[in-house]
Amino acid sequence: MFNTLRTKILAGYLILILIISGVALWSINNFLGLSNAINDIMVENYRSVIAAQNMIGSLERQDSAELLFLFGRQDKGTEVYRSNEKEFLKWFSRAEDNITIREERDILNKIDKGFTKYLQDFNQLQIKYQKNPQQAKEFYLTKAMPHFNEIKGWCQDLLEVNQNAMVKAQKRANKNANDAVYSTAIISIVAIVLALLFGIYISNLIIKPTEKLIETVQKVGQGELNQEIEVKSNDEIGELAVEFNQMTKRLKDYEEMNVNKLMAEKNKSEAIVKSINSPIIVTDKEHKIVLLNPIAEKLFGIREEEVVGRHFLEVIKEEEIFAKIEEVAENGFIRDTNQKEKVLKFSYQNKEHYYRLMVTPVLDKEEEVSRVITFLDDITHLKEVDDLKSDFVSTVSHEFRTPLTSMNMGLSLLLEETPGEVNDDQKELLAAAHEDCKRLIDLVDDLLDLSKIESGKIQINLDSINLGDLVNASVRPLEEQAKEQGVDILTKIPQELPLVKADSNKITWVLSNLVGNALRYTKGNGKIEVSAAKKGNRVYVSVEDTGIGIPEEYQDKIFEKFVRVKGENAIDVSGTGLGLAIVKEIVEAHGGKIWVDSEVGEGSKFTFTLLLAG
Amino acid sequence: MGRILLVEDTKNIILSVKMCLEGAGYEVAVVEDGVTAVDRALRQKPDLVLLDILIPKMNGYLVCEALREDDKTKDIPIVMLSAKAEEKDIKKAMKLGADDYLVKPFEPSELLDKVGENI
Repeated sequence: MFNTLRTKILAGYLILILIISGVALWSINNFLGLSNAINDIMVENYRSVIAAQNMIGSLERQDSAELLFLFGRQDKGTEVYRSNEKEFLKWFSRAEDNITIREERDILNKIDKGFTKYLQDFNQLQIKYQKNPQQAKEFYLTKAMPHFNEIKGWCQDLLEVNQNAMVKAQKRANKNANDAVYSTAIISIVAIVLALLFGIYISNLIIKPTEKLIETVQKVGQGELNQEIEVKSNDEIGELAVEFNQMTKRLKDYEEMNVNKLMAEKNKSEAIVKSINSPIIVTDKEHKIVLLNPIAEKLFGIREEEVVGRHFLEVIKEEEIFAKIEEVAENGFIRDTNQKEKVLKFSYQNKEHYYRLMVTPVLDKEEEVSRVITFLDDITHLKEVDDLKSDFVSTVSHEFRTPLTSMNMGLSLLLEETPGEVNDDQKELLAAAHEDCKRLIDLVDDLLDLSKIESGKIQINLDSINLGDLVNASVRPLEEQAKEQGVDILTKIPQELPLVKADSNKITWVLSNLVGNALRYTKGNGKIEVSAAKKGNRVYVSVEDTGIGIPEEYQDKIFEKFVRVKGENAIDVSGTGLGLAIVKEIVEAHGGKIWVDSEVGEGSKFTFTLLLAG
Repeated sequence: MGRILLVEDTKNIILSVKMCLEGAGYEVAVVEDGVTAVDRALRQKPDLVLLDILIPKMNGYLVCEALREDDKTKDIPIVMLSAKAEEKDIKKAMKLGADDYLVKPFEPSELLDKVGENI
């Protein structure tokens, strides 16, 4: 029956209406009872009282009529007597019609009999009066008057009986009214209590499952997807609960699906990590090991299941690696990006292995470091190739030197005419050959230098250096050449410039090379300016010329090996094509940067940075 | 002028170096291996030895060492000639008693300067 909330609410109201109706009916019933009681008094007894009073009145007037008769007024007396006789009988019959009490009948019977006698008395009185008025008076006193008093007494009784009945009826009515007040009050209280109880029952019927629903929805909202609402009712809330349970189930399925997908992804990434042939260690914020691949296990001689959850340093005693991890975990990046990746050397399985250390942070949603991936890129093979290359370059350049020595010596001696005179044409040819021979020699030198720097064989010995001295030392050997070319070399190094951290030989080489280049590309009435300025914790050193400039498309490539500017503005110069590549390597090995700003026809400005000493 | 012992196994270099030095007035004797070089130096006592490092039988370092060990030759100036241009090679030669070092390739003027400085 209570299938829907609507019927539940309607049923609730219906029952309340029924209770109210019950109370109303009961009250009406009480009112009716009261009204009956009043009716009893008004209709039944009141009439009898009136009748009794009128009967007494008529009787008294009949008595008076008899006296009137006895005192000589026969006609008048008889008339009054008869008329009052009628009046008496009228009221008597009224009283007879309205018998409500048992005694009434007896009293009326007595009155009836008495009154008949009284009437006979009057007839005898009339007869006696005709004979002897004195005898008649005697008769009146001995017979008629006692009868009169008797009847009057009975009528009085009738009156009293009815008056008593009225009093009783009034009392009853009062009692009825009181009863009605009490019973109505009790029934009302009962009705109110019932209505309250029923109201609570009905609201519980609705609210209980709703509360349960809310509670479960909250739990589901907090992610407890295994919650199910236990609502058994068939109403709208029950339907909602069923729908909600289905939704939760679908959510759960969906989540499980996602979890499965995530698991698959996790397994995939782990498989990838494990299959990578370079050691990988994943650590968390507290530097505890999260993941390790088999090659890392082999390298450090540990087993993943034994070290996961333990601190990095506790397991792998490599302070150098840990310093990087710590830095990355703290800052989210490696501060000094200029610094080349560190190459680490480890020996295992009787073989030397070289690794390039790469530490990468994994950021979470809040951009905080949640994991740190330490990747040791196995560059052993590269290193071997590099070593081979260095050996090769070294061997080749060495092998070149011997023939170049005899070629250079031979050409020089011919030009100096040691073996005998040569003519001008011959001399020109020999000079060209000698120049190219010298270029080859430079090339061999540069190649060897570059190969050494690239393979890290050249040691950079950092000292605190006064840059001004260095610039002067670098520029001095070129001053004569500059004067011949008509080029001014200006050095503008501030006196107060702090010391820089540099290898003086290498930086002298860099400066000589840059100034030498500038001279090479600047002809007649030009100017070369070497300047320096402190910016932050670095010193910016610039070599600026008023030469032919470098086209934009070459500006990025100019530091690569064997790159020379081609095109209409190119000057045939005798460089090896390796100078700037070596310059760049040296500057970067110092932790600095080098770049060029240039405009064709205006000049070029090479700038490199050095770190401040201390 | 002076007598110079050139220890060098490359014919082409011998040719130009000898011509250069003789052009400048020096008397030049040539040997092509280390063992002969030591023997010749002991016997002839030259005024200066130009010594290549990579030579047969006994390398330049060993020749240098041997010459410095013998009283008869220990004061003869030795100038190393080598294609080995690295600092460590030069340092090694100096440590073993060489007086100077000339990296190949070189100009005739450089050769004559070195010889002139050390003879």
